[in-house]
Amino acid sequence: MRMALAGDQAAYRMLLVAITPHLRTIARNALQRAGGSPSDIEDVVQDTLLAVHLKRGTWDTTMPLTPWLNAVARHKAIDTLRRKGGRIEFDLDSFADDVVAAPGSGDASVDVQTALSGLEQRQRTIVELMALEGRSASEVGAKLDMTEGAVRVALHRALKSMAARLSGPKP
Amino acid sequence: MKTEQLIGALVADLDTPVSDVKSRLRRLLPWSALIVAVSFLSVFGLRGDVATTGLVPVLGKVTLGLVVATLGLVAAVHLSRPDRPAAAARRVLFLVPMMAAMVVAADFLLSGSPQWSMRLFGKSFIACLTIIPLLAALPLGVVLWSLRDGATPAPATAGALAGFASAGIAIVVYGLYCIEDALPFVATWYVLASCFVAVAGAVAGRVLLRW
Repeated sequence: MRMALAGDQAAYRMLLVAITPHLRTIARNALQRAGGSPSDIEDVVQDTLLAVHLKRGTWDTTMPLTPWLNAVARHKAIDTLRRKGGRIEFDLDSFADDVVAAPGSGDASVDVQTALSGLEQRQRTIVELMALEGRSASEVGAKLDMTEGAVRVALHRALKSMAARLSGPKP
Repeated sequence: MKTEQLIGALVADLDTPVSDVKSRLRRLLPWSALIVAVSFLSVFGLRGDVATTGLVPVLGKVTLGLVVATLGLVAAVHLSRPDRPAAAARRVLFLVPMMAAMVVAADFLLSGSPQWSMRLFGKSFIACLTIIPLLAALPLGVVLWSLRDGATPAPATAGALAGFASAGIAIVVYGLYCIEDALPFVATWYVLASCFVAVAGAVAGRVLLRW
């Protein structure tokens, strides 16, 4: 994480990939304990990753990373449960099925998809090109006739407003 | 969207600088305090005797304001990280009101009761209760806005602490103008006004400091 904060993209990707299973465990435990739906696990994971990214400045670099990470993950799990308070579905069997069927795959998340579709057209295109197709900022810039810097700013704004949508009252 | 794809987007966004609570506060809060002080005092003026008989009470009020502001600010910044326990910060909320209540009680026991209610109510407690929250509004906005860069585990508590931080600034400014010096007056109405600001901060914090 320290390397990533210094701007090392490869280190950052490794870190995010490495913490994802851990985040998934926390999300699963939190949802299970509170009687949330197992289909929300990946929502919580992605919401947490987004928060880890946007709030990485709140990690005290002199402290170990795990307690901070756990705090973010728990906060996001509770947040999701509260947001979905209206529809609590609890079924142990389906829980077990789900966990067996999808042992930590990178499932698609409904919530993040919804937040994505709420963005304005250009921001959505940028996120889709960069995230789904893995294009670089300069490629996207050339395609959309924007400067590389403008693409970066638009991407950052898009991620922020997705996070805001996710933590809003009810989507 | 798949999780790996999201990670791709996050990695692409790594170069964006992270804004942090402290640097934003350092940049904006002094200005907001200055704006409030200059605009209020240029209209209403300093109290006339500030250099003579009023010096000691003014210094007392400024000290009270600085203490309230510092306590609120330090605790609010402390609580802007997700892995910080909220319980200790929550206790800070009760510190100033409790100290004020003790001062009022001690003053009641020491002075006779007939003159005491005059010392308590003075002539301008309503002005005090309205002006301090008004003066605190701009700093409160600045503190809350800066705290949005943080990730607090307890939005309402953090908002209330922001309220005390900005009320402290308002006390310093108002203390340079207000001529009521009785101890129970200051302890009751200044602190009660701060509590109003803290409640407003808590309500705003619940919405603004979610993440």
